[in-house]
Amino acid sequence: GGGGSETSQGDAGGAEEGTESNEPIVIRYAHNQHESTPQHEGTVLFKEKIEELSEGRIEVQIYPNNQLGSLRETIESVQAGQIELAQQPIGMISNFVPEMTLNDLPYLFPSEEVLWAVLDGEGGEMYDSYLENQGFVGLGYMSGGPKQFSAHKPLRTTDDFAGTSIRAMEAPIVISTMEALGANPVPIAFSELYNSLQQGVVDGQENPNQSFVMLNLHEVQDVVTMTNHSWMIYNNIMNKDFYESLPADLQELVREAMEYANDEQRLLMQAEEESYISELEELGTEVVQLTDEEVEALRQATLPVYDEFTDVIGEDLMQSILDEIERLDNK
Amino acid sequence: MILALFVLLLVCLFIGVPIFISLAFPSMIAIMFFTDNSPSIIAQRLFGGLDQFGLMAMPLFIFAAQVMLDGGMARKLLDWSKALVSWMPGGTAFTTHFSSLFFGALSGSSPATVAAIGGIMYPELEKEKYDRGFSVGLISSSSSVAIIIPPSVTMILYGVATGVSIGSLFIAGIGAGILYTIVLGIYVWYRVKKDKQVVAEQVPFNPKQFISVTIKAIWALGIPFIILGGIYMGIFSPTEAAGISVVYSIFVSMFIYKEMNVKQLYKSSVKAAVLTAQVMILTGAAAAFGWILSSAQLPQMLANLVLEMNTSPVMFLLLVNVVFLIAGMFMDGSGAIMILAPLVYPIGLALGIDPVHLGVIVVTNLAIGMFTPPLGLNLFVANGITGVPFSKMIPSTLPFLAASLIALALITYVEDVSMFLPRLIYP
Amino acid sequence: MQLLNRLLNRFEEVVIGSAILIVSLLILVNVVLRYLFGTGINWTEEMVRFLMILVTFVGASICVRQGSHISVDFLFNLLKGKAKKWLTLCIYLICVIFTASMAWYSLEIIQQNMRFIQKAPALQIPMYIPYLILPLGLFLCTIRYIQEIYYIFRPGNKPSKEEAL
Ligand code: NA
Ligand code: NA
Repeated sequence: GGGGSETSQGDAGGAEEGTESNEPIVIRYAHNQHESTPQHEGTVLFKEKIEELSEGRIEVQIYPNNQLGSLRETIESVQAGQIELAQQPIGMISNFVPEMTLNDLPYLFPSEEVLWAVLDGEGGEMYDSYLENQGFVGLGYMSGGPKQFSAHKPLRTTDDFAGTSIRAMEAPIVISTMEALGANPVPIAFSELYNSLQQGVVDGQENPNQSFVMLNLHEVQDVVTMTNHSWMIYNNIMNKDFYESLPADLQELVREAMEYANDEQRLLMQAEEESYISELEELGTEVVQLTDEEVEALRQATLPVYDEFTDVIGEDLMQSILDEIERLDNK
Repeated sequence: MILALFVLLLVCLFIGVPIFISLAFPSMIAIMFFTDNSPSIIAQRLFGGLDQFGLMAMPLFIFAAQVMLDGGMARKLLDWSKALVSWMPGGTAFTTHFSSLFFGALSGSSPATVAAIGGIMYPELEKEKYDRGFSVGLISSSSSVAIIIPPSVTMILYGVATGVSIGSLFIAGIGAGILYTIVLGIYVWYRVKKDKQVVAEQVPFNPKQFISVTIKAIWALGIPFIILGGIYMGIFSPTEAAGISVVYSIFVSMFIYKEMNVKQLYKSSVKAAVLTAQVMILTGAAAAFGWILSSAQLPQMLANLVLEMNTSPVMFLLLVNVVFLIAGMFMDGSGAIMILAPLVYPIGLALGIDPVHLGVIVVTNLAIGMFTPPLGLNLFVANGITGVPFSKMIPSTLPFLAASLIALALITYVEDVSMFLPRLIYP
Repeated sequence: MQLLNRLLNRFEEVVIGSAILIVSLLILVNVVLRYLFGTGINWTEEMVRFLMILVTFVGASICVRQGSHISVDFLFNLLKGKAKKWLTLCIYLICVIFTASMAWYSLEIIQQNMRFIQKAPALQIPMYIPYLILPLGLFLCTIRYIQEIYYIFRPGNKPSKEEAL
């Protein structure tokens, strides 16, 4: 109940006053990152924007740090309507929407501009339709930065990767990519990553520089090689039934606010990415940049991964996105 | 809603509803009556709370302890401790004290240590006419060190609940556990010297016999080295170390000591699995309960409240000790960790307290709680195996309790006791 | 009825006893593979988690039968005779309401995961398969609690401790 007193209780027909004192619609927005990250900042930007645009008709409660469950469980909870909105890595969502495995193909996007052009354009529209079949409404993408490999040595060529054991997420596409590069992927839980590197259970790992800095991996790793082999992308997904239960004008405002938050968050992440790299160098971690030829050789080595995952992703989808990327790249 | 949740929880706990249902049933009621959500979220959390790899070490250490108990390793360890200290005045008391330390070091479970060591040593203590109350107090307090010395089921749970490195917690537990054993040992020594009732025959040290029992016990004595050495040298992770110690214990029991056959192995597996369920289901239920608290944003509110009160770290640690000692008196350590650790951890972090040190403090409190009257798992187990009535047990545990509190104060306010080793190993 | 009960007991014990043994072996194999060949089986970790969840929920049912779920039995130990009997009934009623509702609501999760596809990341099996542990274990617990309530009124029919392992 609101702050209603005796008068508002007696005034049963007072529809106007009723709407005014109505509780706002609450959107619970869950994500897995710490409060100090641009990812969290992105969720805050959405909260501020939508609360402003809707003039208080919508209230957003943010739950950082996996407070409402692991990544997998959070996505499941959005699907079930237990949580209204979540910001989740595409790599996890593809366990629910296999077509989106596409996004984690190695060296898929030639540049960050093409990446966003595809996700904000034709590619994103196709993803949205697959998401909808699984009970989600896709609300665009935020950035986690490009992924890099780290180890005790530079990893410039497939020869460098050969015999190097690298901690892998349990996702099959990540494991295949590492195998294609010649490394020995070792599946280890994220919670045991630091210890495993510290104790030498594995030689290296792959993650965006953000994770490297936040987990203090400089204490246990010497070199980050800027392989830029894929991107950590976060997708905002909303429960479909909840979205459809919103009045049309609020639906519009949700989209508008999230579009704003997505754009701003990407800029924040770009700025942060530069500071991560300088921070790495200050902490004494060697940062190795690759030449165009070295990148091309690594890309060639990972081409078999595309064939391996054609069936999972679907040949038509894969071809149309690859064509779209080529068109945008030549522009 | 939160008030209703806690009232219902306390009522359920008080009337004796199993702890896991006392946690999850009020959560289900809260979801049904105060939210639009489906109670299926409780079922999801029961599953999700357990779906963490870090948690898997716990059942495996329980399993390893069961195999050691059923396969002769525990007995050989005890013979070794006896040969080591039985020449001292009060030798049998010290044998009990040290074998609790060693078996506790292996098993990670305090009640299991009471059962294993107490079951064998109590008759011997009685034979030598030790005061019965003293014997039971000794057995139930010495065994509590099992959860401080690594590996420790309670530490694993703390690590899982807070995300603190379990490897570092284990290393920090060595210093704290040794100090705790020494402080209790001093009290035992004092009683042996002063108390006329505590008399013991001294058996002269027999080097020949000592060597022979050492050889027999060498396989059991090797386990801590395998666990800590394997973790430290990067051969396996703490979770994997647990699995390795199971396979190792099975191997030694079946093929070296030959005290276990396939049928007994099956029985040990089932026993261990039942013990696992007993503890693990609590974790799932605590996750369900925690979901409600998180979704009401209670942990942040509490943390902000304590921070606004401008608590000093010293005061905060005192508060932690009081809260966990009381919790430990009334509930099982695993339950207390799952409910309270997520609440104190962020506050400690904000006050600049090392999360590993905080973990050791929390675990030491719970270790003491295991034999603090009126409710202590160790007391119940000791009562079960010795038949000494509570009225006799409770007064004689009090001096042990006082000694433990001295150890706790040292562990709390002298950070180096626990943090020296981890800082040396992981600079 | 007795036979059915014994079969059920045996089923529970075989499931959890072998599951915990398999877990230990899987971990050993993984460590050896990594140590010798620098690689591991990518589904070990996931399999270990699911098997332990199986152990927990089926084991929970055995704990009901043995009366070994951890509880605060302070009040319970104070009471005697009739009062104790009614308290036990009250406790078991709360328990059976909980496990029966949870068994029912866990079917919602299964349904959701059958309607939509969700795959376990490493094993690549549909997630509803591991989730089936929930209704299975909770249903077994419900049966056990109903049995216990029956034994309150017919204490003579309760099997002896040895029979319950
Ligand atoms: Na231990
Ligand atoms: Na206690």
